[in-house]
Amino acid sequence: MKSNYAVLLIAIPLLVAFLQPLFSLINKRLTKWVTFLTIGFNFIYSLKLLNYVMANGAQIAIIGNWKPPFGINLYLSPFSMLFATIIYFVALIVLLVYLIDKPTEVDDRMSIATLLMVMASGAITLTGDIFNMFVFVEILSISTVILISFNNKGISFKGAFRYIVLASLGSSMLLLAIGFIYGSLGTLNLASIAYRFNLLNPVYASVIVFLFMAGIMVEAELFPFNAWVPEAYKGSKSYLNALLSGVVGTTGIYVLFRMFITIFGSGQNHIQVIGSVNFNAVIIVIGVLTTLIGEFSALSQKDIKKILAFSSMAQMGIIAVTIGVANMNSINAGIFHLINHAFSKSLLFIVAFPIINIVGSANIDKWEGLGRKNIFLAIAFAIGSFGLIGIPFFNGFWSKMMIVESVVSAGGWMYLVIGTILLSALVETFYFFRIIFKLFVDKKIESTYSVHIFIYLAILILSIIVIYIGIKPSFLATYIHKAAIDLVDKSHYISTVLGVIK
Amino acid sequence: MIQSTFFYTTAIILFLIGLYGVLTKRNVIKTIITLTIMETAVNLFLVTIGYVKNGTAPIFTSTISDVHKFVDPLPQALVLTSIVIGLGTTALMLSLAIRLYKKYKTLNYLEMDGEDEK
Amino acid sequence: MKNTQGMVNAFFAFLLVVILGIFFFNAINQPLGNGLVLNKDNPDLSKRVSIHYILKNVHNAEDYLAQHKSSYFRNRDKVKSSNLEFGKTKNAESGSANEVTSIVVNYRGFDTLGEVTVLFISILGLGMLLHENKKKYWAKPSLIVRTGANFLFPFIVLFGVYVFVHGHLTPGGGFPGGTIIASAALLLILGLKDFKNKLTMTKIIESLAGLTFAGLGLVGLFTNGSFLTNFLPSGTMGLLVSSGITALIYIAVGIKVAAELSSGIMEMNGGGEE
Repeated sequence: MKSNYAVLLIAIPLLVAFLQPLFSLINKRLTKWVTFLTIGFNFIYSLKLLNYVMANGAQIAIIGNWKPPFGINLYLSPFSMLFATIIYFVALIVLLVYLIDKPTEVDDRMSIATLLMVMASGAITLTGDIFNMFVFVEILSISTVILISFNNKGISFKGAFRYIVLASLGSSMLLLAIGFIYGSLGTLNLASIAYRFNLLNPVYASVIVFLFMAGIMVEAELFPFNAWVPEAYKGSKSYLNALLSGVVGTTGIYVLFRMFITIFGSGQNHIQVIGSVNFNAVIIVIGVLTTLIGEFSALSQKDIKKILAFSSMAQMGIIAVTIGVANMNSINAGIFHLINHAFSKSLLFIVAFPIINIVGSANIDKWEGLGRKNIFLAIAFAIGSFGLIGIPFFNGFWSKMMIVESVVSAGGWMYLVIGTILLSALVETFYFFRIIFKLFVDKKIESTYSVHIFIYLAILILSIIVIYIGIKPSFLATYIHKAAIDLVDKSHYISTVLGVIK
Repeated sequence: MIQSTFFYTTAIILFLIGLYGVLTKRNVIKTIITLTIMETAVNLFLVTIGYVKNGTAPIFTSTISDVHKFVDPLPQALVLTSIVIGLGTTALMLSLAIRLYKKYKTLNYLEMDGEDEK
Repeated sequence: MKNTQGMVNAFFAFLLVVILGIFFFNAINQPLGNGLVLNKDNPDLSKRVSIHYILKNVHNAEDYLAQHKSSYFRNRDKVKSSNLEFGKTKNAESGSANEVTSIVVNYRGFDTLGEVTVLFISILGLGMLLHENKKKYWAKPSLIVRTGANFLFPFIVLFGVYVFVHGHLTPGGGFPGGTIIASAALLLILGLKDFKNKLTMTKIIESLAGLTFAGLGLVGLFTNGSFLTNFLPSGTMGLLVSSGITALIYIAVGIKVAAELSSGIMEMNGGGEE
């Protein structure tokens, strides 16, 4: 019964969000703090739950006293709790910067949107019901639109509009997929869908998987649905980009992992050709295309936000490849890389914020000489990029090694995929080192902007994590290993939720 | 008697019309209209899934209590949710369209892109 | 040149749509693996989870699933159920005569909480985007519109309240009821020239109604150990005072939707300018 209290992770932010308009009547700055404290509560509570499920195995939280598959349930497992915790953590760090940003007239609305966005991302990772997931995906995409259009520039509105068009296209497809699922299986519960999905006619099943994949690819920043990425990132504030990449992107990829491996896939034997189409190959091709497009677009950009946006797109592609390869090692590597990417990319976006303010431009050509002005920011930027590229003894190194290893072990035409991953690493190295060399050019910058202690704090925390994982990757290994086991163990998922042993 | 095949077909054709519109139209308002068509198509599809021939509304009244004639209430609940979500998204899209028009004085994407490059 | 490109785009879009269409129609007309066909006039509700919602025997079904494990999925209709009669059945599970309401608010109440949040956040975004919108001064409303607005306003509000208070008995409920009340607010804006936007008031009402919804859920969590549990007795099916928290939640939803949509309309009418 204790696990039922996990619903507080969703209920408390919702309650606070409904109360925020009242707080804003008192003071608009207060709402920022309330949001920060609520997400802080979520982080601490989810950390506690993560340790609980690590020790005691997966749990479910039922809602409305209706057991699954009749009611809605939350599924708390090492995998879902790990990602919920990371999402809350990244959001907490980003909010540290938001707290000290200069006040605007719409701060109250922004705090509510941020709170609901983080809440929805957490809820998507936890929920065990497909329609509930759809509702939270909608909350996520609407609050993301508000977040993007916060900056009040033409390009932000364009980015926001492109995002919402793609998101509602995606949600229509998601809802159509839900309709197909309910019409055939007569249920909306994920475990129950997983239990009976292989009974479906393969042609029919592949329509469902196709629609579902298309629906969630907007959030995951994968190829045909990622046209929103450059404008949305360019148009929004740079620390909020950390939320777009570290929270929205992570959630999208999480859903792909969960749905393709546990729910639609056949889980344990690691080879899941779903329906009449080989969706593993489809995902690998999409991942490779996303990576190539992302990396080469990043190479030609001069604007730091766009560079980081395209780079995060490319990383999502690499992680999508690991979903397609779908053996135990690649899933381990994919989860690890997703976590590393969330940390390093948030670090880079947060560092970019004071740098842009000091230099007065997001154009990297103007960044020359920053190392002389503020060595700490320059070093932090270098740490973040090393983590992302995968320089030895930084976090990305281990996960990229694992990805390459796992793809090699899959053999066959996967060598082409390896070529792509290595090429992308090379391109990445090139454009990040280009920036880092510029940072350490000997040149004087005139600026009166003083960096707030909270920004240093956020940067310090993330840098320490990036370096710590790099030196001691075993720190996360137990969590990731358990998460991967949880992810591929389809029958365990079904028996935990439904009590039916297959 | 109209078969439910008819409704399924209509729903899917509407969905495809909407998809075609989203892919080809370069005008903000037209894009919003086509997205709304898609939403309606999906709602029609969902309602059709619960359709029972000669069924009654799934509400007990003093005269109707034959539960075996009720149409499936769950898709109706889903449609209710999806309509409200559609309202929210459409409202947001239209207000974005207002802001876009104020910034660029046009509703065409291509012209907006041209404006940005200047 | 531009036109040619448009033609090429249109051609590829058409091709994609046709391929998808074949894909979908093919799937719809396929026999499904487990003997179910989507494309059928009478869907077999006994193969779906909603049969338990209709018969209000979810708790029996839970027991059946626990005992018979996987054979439950073949024998959904064998789950014990009691006879349901309007105005007579007492303490039926969710207790509301309107099955859709019982699903929306009780069995899948969590979705509705999310749905209310979607509306909340999108009206919030609307307000943020239209923040700089200046107040529009309409043409002076004619005598008929003015009198009509004043005269009809209480009746429309009353009708809206009727719809959401009877949400668990008749078609309608919180969302339509709230929308009807918001239409009354729109009528006032159109009909009264010196209408003042009351955004602070709607904000407070909205917050309190949202608080009621989430708060009722939390009460269920702390008393019965599960969020949004119906902790009140469900009473006789068909009476106004029945179905426990379902009715209360729908009233809260109605008030919240009314306040939200009215504030959305007021944002369009010049927003915070007072």
